Amino acid sequence: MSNHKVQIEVNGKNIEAEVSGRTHLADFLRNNLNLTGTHIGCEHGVCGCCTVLMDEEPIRSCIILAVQADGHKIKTVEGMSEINQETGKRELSNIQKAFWEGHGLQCGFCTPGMLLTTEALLAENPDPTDQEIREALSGNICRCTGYLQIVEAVKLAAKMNKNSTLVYLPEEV
Amino acid sequence: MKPVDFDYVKPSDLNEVLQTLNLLKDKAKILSGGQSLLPVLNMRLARPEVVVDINEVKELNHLVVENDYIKMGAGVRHSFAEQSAIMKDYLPLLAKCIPYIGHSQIRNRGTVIGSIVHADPSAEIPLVALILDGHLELVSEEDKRTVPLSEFFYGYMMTDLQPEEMVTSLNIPVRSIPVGGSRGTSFIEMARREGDFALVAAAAQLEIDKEGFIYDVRIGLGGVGPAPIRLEEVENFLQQKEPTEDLFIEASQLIKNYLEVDEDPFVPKEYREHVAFRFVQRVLSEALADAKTSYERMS
Repeated sequence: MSNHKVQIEVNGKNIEAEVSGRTHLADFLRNNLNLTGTHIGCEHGVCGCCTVLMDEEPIRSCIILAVQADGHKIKTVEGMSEINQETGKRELSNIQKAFWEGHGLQCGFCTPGMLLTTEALLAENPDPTDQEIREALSGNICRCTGYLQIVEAVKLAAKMNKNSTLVYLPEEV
Repeated sequence: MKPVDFDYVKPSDLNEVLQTLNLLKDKAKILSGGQSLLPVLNMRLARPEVVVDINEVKELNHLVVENDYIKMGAGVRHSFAEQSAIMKDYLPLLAKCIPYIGHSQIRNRGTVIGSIVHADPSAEIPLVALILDGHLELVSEEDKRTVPLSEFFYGYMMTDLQPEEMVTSLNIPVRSIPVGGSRGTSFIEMARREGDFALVAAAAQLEIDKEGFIYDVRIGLGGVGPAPIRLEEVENFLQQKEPTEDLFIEASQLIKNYLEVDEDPFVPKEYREHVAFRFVQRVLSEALADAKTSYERMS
């Protein structure tokens, strides 16, 4: 019924849009901004697939209204890649490379949520233990991997963040 | 799985919120953290005409020590409370239960008071606030009242909160540790997966005097009935006694007399009872161990 003007910084870009009150953030990102990397699984806050970062903190975008993100910073999986200072080319982030290298995914449905939760974890705790990784990722359900390779990928990402010479670069994408 | 259409309003002061509630009563729903409300809206279990977002009401963001009470406003999120020094110093039990609430994504948004007004019988905060003698400030446009947690819950997701009212603050009395003694706390919970709703949760706070006897004990269970329960018989039994494992086993027997666990299609009644019985003993011994550690740390 009610429409609202919002100003949201999504992946570093300032977005101005009009949303209806009932639209949740995940729908807004997918339908209005075409950022379909944010996946919707259960749509009631259980599976973690729709995890995005709001002001650097992981949240579930299916249980927050788009209008509530007004004035905040959102980061989705599309915003994870970085420009390589040497080559000037856009590259996957260390976390993404580590998931690639460590086979931290199979079907990939849960991956965007896993990646962003991992980003928040490593920002807060650059060297997490297995237990801490499992705890941090407990809100993200994966039905394929059995989590082993995901945990390994997170550890690899932590290692890559600390040691810039340790670079696993996928072949040309 | 999309909410029904509603009007969204975001007042920036409390009076405006209360006026809206008074005008619309049942037709309005308050949105704070939204971690219980949004799922309910998405599943269309609730169909409010107006959603009143209180995130801009800055006067609800307080977490302070005032007149021997810890006061927490309706805007205080779990993650904020979890990291607050006030919480660790004054309410270690509440700080201990917060990591069990959902997952980090939930705790970053969800609020302490939101968990209380949602009144899920297996929720952590209602149980801990209950056994710590917490009370709530309920405010409406025309009235203001204080309700102890022990009188707030009516049953499964039912509370004393009236449609025109909102909870503005949770107040928990500060207890000083007995001179020459110590305090220990423990919170344990059984869930199918980490972060799931608890099948059984138990919380205890134990204060030991300088002679080594129990000076004050608080213990409660969640998930075993339509609302969290405080085990007053167990508390009375333990009062002034010397804490030992045998005593705790004896104390845990007492709950057999009055525990009324609901039937549940997923969890056999007997299982819940058994876990509850074991948890009473375990939460007490863990609280005692914690009291001993903090005693050693002080001396």
